[in-house]
Amino acid sequence: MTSDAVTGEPATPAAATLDTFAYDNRSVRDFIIATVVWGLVGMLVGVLIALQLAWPAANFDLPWLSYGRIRPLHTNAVVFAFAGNAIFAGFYYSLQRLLKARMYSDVLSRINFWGWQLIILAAAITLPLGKTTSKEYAELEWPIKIAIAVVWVAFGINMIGTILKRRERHLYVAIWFYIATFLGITMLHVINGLAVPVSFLKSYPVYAGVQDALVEWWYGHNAVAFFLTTPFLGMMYYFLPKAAERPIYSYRLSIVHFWSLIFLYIWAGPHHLLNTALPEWAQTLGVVFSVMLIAPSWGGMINGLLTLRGAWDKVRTSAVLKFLVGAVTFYGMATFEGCLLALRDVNALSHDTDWTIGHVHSGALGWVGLLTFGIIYWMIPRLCRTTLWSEAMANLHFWIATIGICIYAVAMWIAGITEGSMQLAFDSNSHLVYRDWSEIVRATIPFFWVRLGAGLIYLAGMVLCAINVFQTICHGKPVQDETVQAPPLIRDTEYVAQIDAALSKSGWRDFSTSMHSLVERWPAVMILFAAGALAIGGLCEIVPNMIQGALSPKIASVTPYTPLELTGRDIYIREGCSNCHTQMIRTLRAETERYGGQYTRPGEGIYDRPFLWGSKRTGPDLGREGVLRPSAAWHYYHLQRPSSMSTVTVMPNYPWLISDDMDLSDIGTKLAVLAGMPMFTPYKAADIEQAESNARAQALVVANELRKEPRLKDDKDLEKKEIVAVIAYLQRLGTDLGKPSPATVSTAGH
Amino acid sequence: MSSTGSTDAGGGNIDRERDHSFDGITEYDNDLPRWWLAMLWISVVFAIWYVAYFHFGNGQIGVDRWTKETAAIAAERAKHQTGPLTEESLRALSHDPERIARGKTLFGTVGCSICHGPEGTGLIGPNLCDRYWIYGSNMTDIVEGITNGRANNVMPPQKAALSPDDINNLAIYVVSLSRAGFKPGKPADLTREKDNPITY
Repeated sequence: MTSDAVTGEPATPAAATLDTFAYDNRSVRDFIIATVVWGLVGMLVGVLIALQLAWPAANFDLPWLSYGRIRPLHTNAVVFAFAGNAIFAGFYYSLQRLLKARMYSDVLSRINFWGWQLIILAAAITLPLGKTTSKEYAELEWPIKIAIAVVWVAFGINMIGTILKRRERHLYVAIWFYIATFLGITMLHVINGLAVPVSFLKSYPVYAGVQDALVEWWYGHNAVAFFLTTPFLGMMYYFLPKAAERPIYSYRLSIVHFWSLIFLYIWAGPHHLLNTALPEWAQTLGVVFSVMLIAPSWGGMINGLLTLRGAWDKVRTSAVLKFLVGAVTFYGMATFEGCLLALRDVNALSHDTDWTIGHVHSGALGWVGLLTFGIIYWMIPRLCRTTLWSEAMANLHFWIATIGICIYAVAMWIAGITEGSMQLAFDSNSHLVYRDWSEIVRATIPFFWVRLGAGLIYLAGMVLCAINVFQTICHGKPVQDETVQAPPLIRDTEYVAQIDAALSKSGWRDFSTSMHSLVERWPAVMILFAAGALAIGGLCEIVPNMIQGALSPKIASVTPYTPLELTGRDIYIREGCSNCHTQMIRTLRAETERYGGQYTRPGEGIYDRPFLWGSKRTGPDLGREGVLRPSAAWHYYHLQRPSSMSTVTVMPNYPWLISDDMDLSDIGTKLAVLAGMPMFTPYKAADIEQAESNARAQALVVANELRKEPRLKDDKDLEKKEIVAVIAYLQRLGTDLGKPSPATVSTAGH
Repeated sequence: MSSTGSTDAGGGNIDRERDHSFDGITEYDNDLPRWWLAMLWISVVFAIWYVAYFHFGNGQIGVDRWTKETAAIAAERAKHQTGPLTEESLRALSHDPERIARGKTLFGTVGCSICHGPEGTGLIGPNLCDRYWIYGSNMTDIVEGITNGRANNVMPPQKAALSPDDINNLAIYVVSLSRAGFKPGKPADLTREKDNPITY
C-alpha cells in the first residue's frame, strides 16, 4: 500500500554498518545570530519610517535619512536580512537532519553566510545614498544583484549537493518546498534583474513601461511566494511536527497543496496591477489565479493545524508551539485577505492605500515573524545543549508580538479603507467629495501614530528575543559539529522495474501515491517537475505581453525624455519619490475625475525605464502632474517646504535639491545605453553627443521661468541645481497625450 | 478543527501512519478533507466563470466600464451646464445660492484656501473679502484666473482639474465674498491691487 512496499525498499542495514558523521551546527548558529541582529535593525528602521509618516520632521532634512530612501532599506532588511537569514538557519538545521547528511560543502556554507551578510551591508550603505533601481524588493543596483545571484547559487549548490549525498531515500515534503524556493527565486531574480549598466551603481532595466511593470510584479508577488511563503511552509513541515510530536495530518494533502501552490502562485502577479494600463487579459489571469490560490494556501494551514490534533494542550505551555500556531493562523488570514484584495472591485478601493501595508504586515509580522521566532526558540537551545534561558520570556514575546500585529493590522485596515473611500467618493452631483489631498492625509495621520505604537510593541518583542537568544548561547555549551550516526543509502539502480511497479498500481489513490513516491526518491525528477511548474505561469504572461507591446501601434505624440528630464527622472528615482507617489491613473472614473480626465495609456510609458507606477499613494498620483500643475515656481516652493503649499502634508523637505548642483557627467552615456536597448529609445547620435549642452539649455529655460518669481529673481545659480531637472521632469509628466504628434518620431522603434 | 477528520470517513484511511519517518517525523495517510477539495474546485469553477463572463459575456471591466460610467456622468453634467460664457450671463448666474454653495465647497477642497485662507481673507494670496483686485473684478477676469492660473502659475490653473461649470461656480463664490463686504485679513497691496468694487 505504501510506497516502500511498491518499490521494494531493501531491509535496513545492520547497525554495524552505520555511517558516523557530524551536522554543521555552527552555520545554523551564525545564521540565527544574523537573523536576530538584522531583525532588530530592520524593525528599528521600520519604526523610524513609521514615525516619519506621522511626523515628517523626523526626516531631519537629511538626504540619507529621508523616507523615500530608507523605506526600501526597511523592506530589504526585514525581507532579505531578517527573513533571509532565518530561511538559511532553518534550512541548514532541518535539511541536514531530514537527509541524515552534513551540508555538502563547508566552504559553500561560509560563502553563503558571509556573502549574504556582505550583501546586506552593501544594501545598508547604497540605499540611503539613493543608489536604487526603484523596483520594489529589487532596489539593489546591478553589482549587488550579481552578488546576490552568486551567493544564492552557492547556497543552491550546497543544498542540492547535500540532497545528492543524503542517507535518506525519500525527500520529505519540507525539502520539496526548499527546492521550489531555490528554483523560484533564481528564476525571478535573474529575469527581473536584467539591466544594462550606465555606471558602477546605475543601470536601466531592459524592459520598459507596461512590460517592466508586469515583470516587476511577477517578481514582486512571487518573491512573497518563494521567499516568504514556500521556505516557511517547508520549515513549518519540519518544526511543527517536531515540536508537537505528532505525525503530519495528511501526506496526500501535502502533495496536492505543494504542487498546486507552486504552479498557481506564479500566475497571480498581475493582481498588483489591476485597473491599470496592463492588458485586461493579463489582469484577469491575475484575478482568477489569485482566487484559485486560496485552497493551496489553506492546504498548508490546515495540514499544520490538523497536525496539532491531540497536542493542543502543549500549546498552552510551549512558546515554540504558540509561535508556530500563531504563524499558521496569520498565514491563513493573510492568504484569505490576499484573494479578496485580488478582486478588481475590492482592489479599486484597496490598491495604493494602507490596506496593502496592513496586508503585507499580517504576512510579514504574523506568518514570517512568528514562525521565525518559533523556530529560533526551537533550535537555539538544541544547538547549545541547554534549555531556553527563559521560557516565560518567550511566552511573553508571543503575546507582545501578537498584540502588536493585531493593532498594526486593524489600524492599517481602517486607514486603508478610509483612504480608498475618500479617493473614490462622489457626491450626489457626481463631483468628487475630497478633491484636496490634504483631507485624505489628515484622516490618515492618527492611524500612522497608532501604527507607530504597534511597531514599537512588536520591536519590544524582538528585543526580548535577542536577550533570550544571547543568554541561551552564553549559558549553554554550543557544539559546532554534532556527531550522529545513520545507515548509508543504497542507490537506486532498477529504475524501469520501479516505474513498472508504480504503474501497475490499480486505483487512482494508490497509483498517484506510488508515482509521487518515485518523484521523492529521484531529486533530479523532482527538480525538473518543479522547474516546469514554476516556468509555465511566467511564460504564459510575460512573453505574450512582450509581443503585444512590440506590436501595439505607438502613440505618435509620446516622445523620449529630454536629457534634462531624464536627469530629473533619475533624481526622482534616487529620492524614492515612487514610494509615496504613483504614476498610474487607473481606469476608474474617480481617478480620471481627479487627475485631468484621461487614464494612463500603455503607450505613454514606452520610454519609462524603469516604470514608476508605484504601489502606494501617500501623496497624490503624479501621472498627469505636468498637466495639472505646470508651474515651476509651485514645485520649487513645494519641494523646498511642502507644508508651505499644502495645508496637511507628511512629505519631507528636499533642501538639498536646491543646494546641490546636478551631475550631468554621464548623461551622454545614459542616452547611449537607452538608445541601445531592445525596443530602443530613439535618441540619435547628435542627441547623445549634445546631451549635456541640450540639458544645460533646457535648464536655463526652467531657471528663467523660476526667476519670474520675485523671491527667486536674484538666484544666479538656479540653472545648475538639481531642482531644475526635477521640475523639468514633473512639468513633462503626463503631457504627451495632449500634444500634437511630431512627425519626426513617428517611425520610432522600428 | 479536529472534527474535520471525521469527514474523511469512507476511505478507511483515518490516521493510519505511513511507514516512513524523517528525523522522527511521521505522516498520516489521511484523505484530502472534502471541504478543502470542494474549495479548490469551486475556485476553479469561479475562475472559468469569471473569464467567460467578463471576456466573452456581458461583464464590463477596464476601459469599457470606464467609458460607460464617464459618459453617464458627462450626460448628467450636461444638464447643469452653464450657458454662453458672456460677462452678462455669468453676472446673472452669480446670485444663485446653489452655485455659491458649490463654489464654497470647491474653495475648500481644490486648495484655494491654502493661499487665500479658509475664510478667503488672504494668507500667501491676497484677501478676497475686500474691494481690491489685481486682475480686475469682472466675472470673466476671475474665471480666466482660475482657468489658466495667475502669478506664473503659483496660483495653479484648474482647467484640467475642474469642469468649466465648476470653474464658474468657484468664480461666483469668490465674487460673493467680495460682495458680502470687507473682512479684515491680509492687507491690500495697493501697488498691485486696484479699487474695483463688485457692482453687479
